[in-house]
Amino acid sequence: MRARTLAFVCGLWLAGCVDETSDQASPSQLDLLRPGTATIDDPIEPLPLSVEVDARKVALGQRLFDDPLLSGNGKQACSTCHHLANGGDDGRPKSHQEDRQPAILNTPTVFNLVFNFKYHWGGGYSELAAQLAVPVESPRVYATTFDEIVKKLQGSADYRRAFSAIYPEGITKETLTDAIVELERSFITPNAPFDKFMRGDDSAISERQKAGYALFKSHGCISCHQGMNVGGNMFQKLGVMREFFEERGEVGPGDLGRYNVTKRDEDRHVFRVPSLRNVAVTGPYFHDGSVETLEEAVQVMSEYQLGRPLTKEQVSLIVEFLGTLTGEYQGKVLQ
Amino acid sequence: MIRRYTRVLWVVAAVAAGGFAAYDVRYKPGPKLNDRYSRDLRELQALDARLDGEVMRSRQGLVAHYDEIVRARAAEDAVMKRLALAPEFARPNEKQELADLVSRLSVALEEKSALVEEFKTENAVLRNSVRFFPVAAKELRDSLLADPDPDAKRLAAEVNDVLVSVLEVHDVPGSGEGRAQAEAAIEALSNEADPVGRDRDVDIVLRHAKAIVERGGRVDAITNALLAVPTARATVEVDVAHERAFRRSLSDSARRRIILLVLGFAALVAFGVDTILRLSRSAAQERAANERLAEANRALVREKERERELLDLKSKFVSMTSHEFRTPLSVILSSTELLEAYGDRWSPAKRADHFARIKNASAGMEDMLDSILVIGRSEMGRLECNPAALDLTRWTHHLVETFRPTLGAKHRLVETIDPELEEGFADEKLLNHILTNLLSNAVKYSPEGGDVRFDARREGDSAVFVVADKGIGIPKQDLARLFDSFHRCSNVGHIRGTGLGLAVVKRAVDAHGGTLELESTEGEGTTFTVKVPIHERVVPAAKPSEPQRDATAAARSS
Repeated sequence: MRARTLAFVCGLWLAGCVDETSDQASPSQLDLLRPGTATIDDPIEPLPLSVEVDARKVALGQRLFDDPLLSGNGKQACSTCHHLANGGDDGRPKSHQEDRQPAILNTPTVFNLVFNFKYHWGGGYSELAAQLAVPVESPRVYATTFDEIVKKLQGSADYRRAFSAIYPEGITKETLTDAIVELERSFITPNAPFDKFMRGDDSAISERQKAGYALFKSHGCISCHQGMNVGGNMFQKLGVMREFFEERGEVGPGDLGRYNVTKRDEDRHVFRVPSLRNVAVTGPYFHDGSVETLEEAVQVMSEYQLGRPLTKEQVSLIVEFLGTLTGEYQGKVLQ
Repeated sequence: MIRRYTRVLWVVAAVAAGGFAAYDVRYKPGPKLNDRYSRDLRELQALDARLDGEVMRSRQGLVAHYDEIVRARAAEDAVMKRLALAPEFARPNEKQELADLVSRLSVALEEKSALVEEFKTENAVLRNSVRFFPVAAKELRDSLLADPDPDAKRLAAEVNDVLVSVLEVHDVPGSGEGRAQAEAAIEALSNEADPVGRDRDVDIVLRHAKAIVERGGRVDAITNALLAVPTARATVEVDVAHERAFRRSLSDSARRRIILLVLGFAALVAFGVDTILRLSRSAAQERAANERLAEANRALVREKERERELLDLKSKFVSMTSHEFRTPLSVILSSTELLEAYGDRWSPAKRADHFARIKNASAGMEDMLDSILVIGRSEMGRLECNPAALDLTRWTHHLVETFRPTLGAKHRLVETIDPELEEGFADEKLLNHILTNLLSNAVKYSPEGGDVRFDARREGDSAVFVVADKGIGIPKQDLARLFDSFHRCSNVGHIRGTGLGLAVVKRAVDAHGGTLELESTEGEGTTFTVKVPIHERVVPAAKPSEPQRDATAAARSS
């Protein structure tokens, strides 16, 4: 007995003396800064062909995404306004759901979110998990609370099983959010003709589209619409070279943009530059959905943002180029 | 007692060592913990430097897009989230310090982040104008130059002024003079009434010229402010604090291990001492048990010895009685029978002779019985000493005179009785037993005759009596058992005796609290010196006999 005790004590002591040098350094965060495939030094990079996600969480997230049970009145789902077969939005200037106040902003797409630097038109959210509070709690969207959703989900044996199969803690605000965020991370649209062109397939886009791309760069669009998401990595005022809102008049709360987040005067009419990925299928355009066609949108942008007009021919070249940015979701080209 | 403390000590030491070990394993600032935090800090520095580099290259128009900046920012946020969790080995005050420094770093990063956003926005516009302005201005100038209208040529010159001065501002930023010049040129061009209907083109050129002049300065200011945000210093401060905590924790850990080592060693030593003590205690117990066993054996042997002595005594008594009593009894019997049968016919002298024989034999028997009684009382611890006032000088003279008639022709008693002896307290009976026996022995064991010296004197509070003869002496080998009852010396030969005389003397002297010394040379004679206290109140307690005391001692020690 005593010898055993002694051995135990010695064992403890020896354990304390062992140096833990076997710790393997995890891959450096710095390496994660370079996703995608190596490309030529262009202002636009192709989207990665896939992202790593937990398939079980994505499946659960998809179920939640499509389930109207989550909304306050049980009548609409996330997918009501975010059509995954189209542009990830609803194709309307502003959404207006039954029993709901009308939205004041155009519904943004849910595609390629993971490559955006911030979320919502005013850029008030840096994380997908945090922005989820808006669609859940906004009186214009779900008009409910996380607690209520959790309660509803817990009423379903199916959901209880599905959650506890993945999360030991079951259905909570955190696990619910985690599943949806995982789904959102999976919303990418690779394989756009332009990306194929960037990866070396010269025939992926037409000569006119190439000319459009050249014009897109030389005319200055590229100043803001750049990077992997052709936008979505900076803020910009709407009306840089000409006062857009002064000329239009009727300034509503939705037109204040980032001002609604920071309340700083210089942020008035400043918006997150939207991604131009899939832009051909995400009309109508602008924060208020006020522009119906892509041609018009290009023209307005050129006038107010770049301070110079485009000829009709130039506009159609750019629009043709923008058409090459439409990618595939789950192997199907967005409509 | 020590043993119990040792056990407590080693148990406590072992438990303490275990506790320390567990604590050490739990909080040891291993390379893992340190690595994570340090790696994050180094990564943050790298990201910050990368961000600065990207911003500067963007400022120069050398970067195709802002994705790298966005990614670096996102990575910084992720790192900051991890840095907010202080390492486990840090103490509360160190955690507080780290939290304070990290929050300072976080504030700096947020400030920088806001500036980065501003930079991206402003720089995008600037880059657009910088790209477009020279082309637009040159096209306008050239088309104006191609116009034959002299007004158009003047306008072309002004457009050219704007083009040159604005490009100079852009190429050589920070020059106040160039900027003033550019602003003046723009002012001049915008005040010019358009003579040739090129209003719209001039307007576009002016917008971009203004954008370059204004935003160029602003972007530079933003870039400078952004580079001046002390993120690097704040990171280093966190690193220093973390390193300090880590080193402190390492040295604590080292100290804990030393304590652990000492405790572990103490536990080992205490365990060893405990074991040794346990073994030695059982050895001591065994020794004590053996001791008790041996003691019991010795007691048993003594008991046997006493039993044997008692048996011996009995048999001696029997043989003595059969011998010493029978002889005087037969004398008495025969003299009585003779006197009965022939008494009336015998002469008075002869009758007196027989009566004397009877008397002597009776007296001898009485003496012997007295002696046995004395010894018996002494054995039972009941030999009492009852001192009373006594004129010792007179008593001694009387004793000598009573004894002298028993001397034969061969012996002479030479007495020296100190008249100083005088009165004293003494037990007359005991003194009588002592001296009578010594004197009669002196006579009896001097078969060749000779003087018997008897001295009586006073020495302080004691009376000293010396009886010396020139007889057969006492052999050395008999000295040990000299005072035992019925013991007779080996050289007594045919001299008759009971072996009780000296036993009586010894016991009487002891009872009186005196001392008995003897000097003897075999064949030359013996001198007994008796010293008894005679002052008042000397009443020695009756001492129990030796064997009895031994038995009690043995009983107590077992």
